[in-house]
Amino acid sequence: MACVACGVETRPGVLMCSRCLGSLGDPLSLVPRMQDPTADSRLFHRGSLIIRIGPVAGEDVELGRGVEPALRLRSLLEKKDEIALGAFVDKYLAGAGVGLHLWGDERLPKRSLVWNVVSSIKGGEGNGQAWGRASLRIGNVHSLIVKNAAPLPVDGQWLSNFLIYHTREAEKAYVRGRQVTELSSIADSDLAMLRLFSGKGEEALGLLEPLSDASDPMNMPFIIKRAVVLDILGRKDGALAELAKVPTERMDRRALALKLRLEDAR
Amino acid sequence: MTLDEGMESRFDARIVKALRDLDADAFRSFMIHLVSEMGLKVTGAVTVDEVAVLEAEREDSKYLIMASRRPEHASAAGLKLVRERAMLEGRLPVLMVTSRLDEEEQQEAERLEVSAADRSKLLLLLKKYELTAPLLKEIDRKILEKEGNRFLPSIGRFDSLMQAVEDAMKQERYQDALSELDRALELKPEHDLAWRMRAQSYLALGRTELALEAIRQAINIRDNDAWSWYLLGVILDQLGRNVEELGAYEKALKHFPRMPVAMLNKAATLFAMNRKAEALQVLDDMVRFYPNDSQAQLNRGIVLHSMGRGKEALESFESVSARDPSNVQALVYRATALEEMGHLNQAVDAWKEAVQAERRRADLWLRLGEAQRAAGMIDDAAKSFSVSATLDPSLEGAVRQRDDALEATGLLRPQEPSMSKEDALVRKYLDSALLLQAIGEHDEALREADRCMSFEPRAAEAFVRKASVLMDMGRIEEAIASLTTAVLEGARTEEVLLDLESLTYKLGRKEEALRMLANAPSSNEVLVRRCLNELDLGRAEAALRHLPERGEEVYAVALARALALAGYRRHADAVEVLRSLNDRFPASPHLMNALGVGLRFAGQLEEAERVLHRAVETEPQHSDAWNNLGCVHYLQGAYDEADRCLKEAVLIDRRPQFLLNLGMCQLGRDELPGAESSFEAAMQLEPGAEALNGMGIVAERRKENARALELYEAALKRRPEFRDAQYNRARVRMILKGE
Repeated sequence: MACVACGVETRPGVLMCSRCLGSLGDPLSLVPRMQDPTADSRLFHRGSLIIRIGPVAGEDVELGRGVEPALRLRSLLEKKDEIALGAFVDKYLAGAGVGLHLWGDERLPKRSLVWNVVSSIKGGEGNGQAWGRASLRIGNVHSLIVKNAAPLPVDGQWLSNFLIYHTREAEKAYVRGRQVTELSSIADSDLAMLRLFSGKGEEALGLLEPLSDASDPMNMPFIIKRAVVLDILGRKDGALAELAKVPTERMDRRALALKLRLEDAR
Repeated sequence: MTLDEGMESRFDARIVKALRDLDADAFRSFMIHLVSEMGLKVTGAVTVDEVAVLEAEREDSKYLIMASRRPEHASAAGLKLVRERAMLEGRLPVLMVTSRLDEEEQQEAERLEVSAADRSKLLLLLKKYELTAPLLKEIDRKILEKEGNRFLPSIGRFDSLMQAVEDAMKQERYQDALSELDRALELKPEHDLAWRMRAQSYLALGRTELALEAIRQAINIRDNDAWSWYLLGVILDQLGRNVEELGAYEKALKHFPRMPVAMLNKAATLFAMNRKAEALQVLDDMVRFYPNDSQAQLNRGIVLHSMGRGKEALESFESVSARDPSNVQALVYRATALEEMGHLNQAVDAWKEAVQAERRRADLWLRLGEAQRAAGMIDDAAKSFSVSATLDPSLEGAVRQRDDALEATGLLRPQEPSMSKEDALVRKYLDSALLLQAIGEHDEALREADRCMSFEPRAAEAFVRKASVLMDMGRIEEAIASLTTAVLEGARTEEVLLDLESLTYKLGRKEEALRMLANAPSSNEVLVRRCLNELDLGRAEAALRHLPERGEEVYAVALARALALAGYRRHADAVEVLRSLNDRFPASPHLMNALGVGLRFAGQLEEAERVLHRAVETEPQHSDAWNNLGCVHYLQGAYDEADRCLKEAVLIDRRPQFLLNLGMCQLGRDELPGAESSFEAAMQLEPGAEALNGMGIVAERRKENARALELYEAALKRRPEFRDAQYNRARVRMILKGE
């Protein structure tokens, strides 16, 4: 085999050598991305309101572009304003489609700022709700990188280091998120998904088990996550049984699609 | 060479250099002057690529004169070019060039019957008509200009106006063209070409009666111009006056017997009047005179087809396609004719060619699907219907036919993945493309995707990957084409559709983007996009309609709702949504700014001031929030504070809106020089009615009423419905009357 970029000889099945992979700048380029997945570009560029002093020829309130997120990130980092930084990261990643719950099928925007935001947060910046939410979202970005990079046929040593780094960053972020009581269960369930993506399905099921009490309506997302894990592990009946615990009115589009697919496959 | 000859030669060289140094307008004016001196009446003049093309006439002869300073035109090619142009207009060709024609080229001119004046003949003409002195004066003028002396041009004003008209028409600014024509016709009211252009401009603006009036005026001035008669025909066609229209084309053909466009339109009119045999006769003549004219051949086919002469019609369509394979109309008629003749497989191939020529036309995909279904190719039909429905969900029948066909084929159910050897190879290509893209090797990534497609042409994922790489490279149109094919090949439709929509929106095709969303499965994402697109198009009510009843909402839906409510002027409701968003994301200056604006319009000025103050404290670079805080202070009568905030906004981001607000605030403080400079700065950034109106107010306050009137009128020219400028103009007019 030979590296598809430089042609150097590689091991059987390896498409890219570690030297070429060293020039990988944004690890999110390994994650499926979309042009404007949550209409986020539109909201950033047309989502700010501007008042006009009359008399005006058109409307007295117009849509503007607001503050460039890249500039705001830089100024917050320079000012070391922890509270505002946490709020910014939380809102920016939410707008970019990174939820508190991790599912694995998320599509992130094709914008380098997403990775700039995630990589500029080193951990331990602040406390409170906003930082808790920001941490979960940061952890989810790292987990998505793990999920999508793990199956790639690239140099084994490089891949191993890469996966270890992003797994650790995700774990650290989930620990920080866990410190906010209201977010601790979500943090555990996201960690379970990370384990699944690292090939540890049983461990994932174990982590979700204590969260899956169907008598509490708040637990429905965790039950759906268990179904997702069981499905990926090939235990389709188990997955369907989990989904049967979720009342139809509590099913989101993802859960409904999974249920239909599992039923069709029967 | 004697001394005299040497001086003469230097003098000639100076004259030729002067001619070559003239700018395009001045050169054209000069040539008009020369031709007029030669006793010809110049009836039209344009500049094309620095070449002056003049229409002139004397007694019964009409000429087309091409005057060029480009050396490549002093050649056999130049002679052919002028001959072809002249032939097309039924005129005699004349070529004037500033370079030499060699003996062979002069013989070629004779052979082609082109009257040619090369460098030496041209110099003789200039001397004969004593035009060398003005040329040398022009050299002196340029020297004076270089030295900084002001020179007032007094000649060529009409020509420069006509040039402005042409430019405006080329850019489809017909209203501007009409304004320039008014001025041109003030100078030369009997200029038939100006009237004809006026008619063309009115026609383009849909003001058909005025167009008719103008073209009649052109014909009254000169009734032997074929183009004016032709245009009269076109205008009458718009008015549905077929009999008179036919008469106009006949007149055009009397003055220019084989005028192609008049022949085409005459045939079309006859066809519309159901005089098919006569229409066919005209088209037969045309095909004989102009055997390479695809439109004539195509129209002949259409007439034959309507007369039930299918086989002959098909021959006509095939002859067009053979000559011009991208002529979609011909392909469509050919496919239709084949269908009607029962040649189903050939019809499918013909529709495929049509689709290949225009891949984004939903109606063609629909017709291909129908043909495939008729030929029993149900799977292929389902895919064609899918593409059609994706491209234009509103197209009648597209969605229903797609669903019917999908159901018939069972394609609605997802297939179980299986990893054959072929699949593994496809996966390898796709992984390679992904990795190469990730390290920025875009060309290589594209090649891998292409290899994948050549190995497995139906690998939808390869088209998606290719589109992703093309997007990274900024090749948006190609990315759109690749995504469209991905849909055809059964890619995950919703995601691909959303990406297609994003790219279409990015290209500014917002209505098209909305149509794509209309048939997408409902999701938060689709709803937000529809809402924001409607808002962008200024349709706040429609934007609001797209959103579901309010409940637990994700961030994007809530923000879109707030923006739509603000746009629809339901500010109290917008405030309610924004308050809850601010609770969820505290410390967001973006949301504080939006809430501040909502509060200002809900009349809660003090709270608006507090919230906007917090916004600029949290993010001192938030220019919108500084602007909005300034506006709130202004409303509260705190002009000094308002002035400070608005200046801060301008300092951060010099946007015209901020400058206009600052100007109004400065007017409020009676700070006229400041206001004037703000309005002028706004005008430089984005010329608009508001800046002109503001400058008018400044002038009026300085008692410069005539200037104020000019400025208000200029504002109204840009925005006739601008109320304040209307009042201001009326007031100043009254004052000026009193004076």
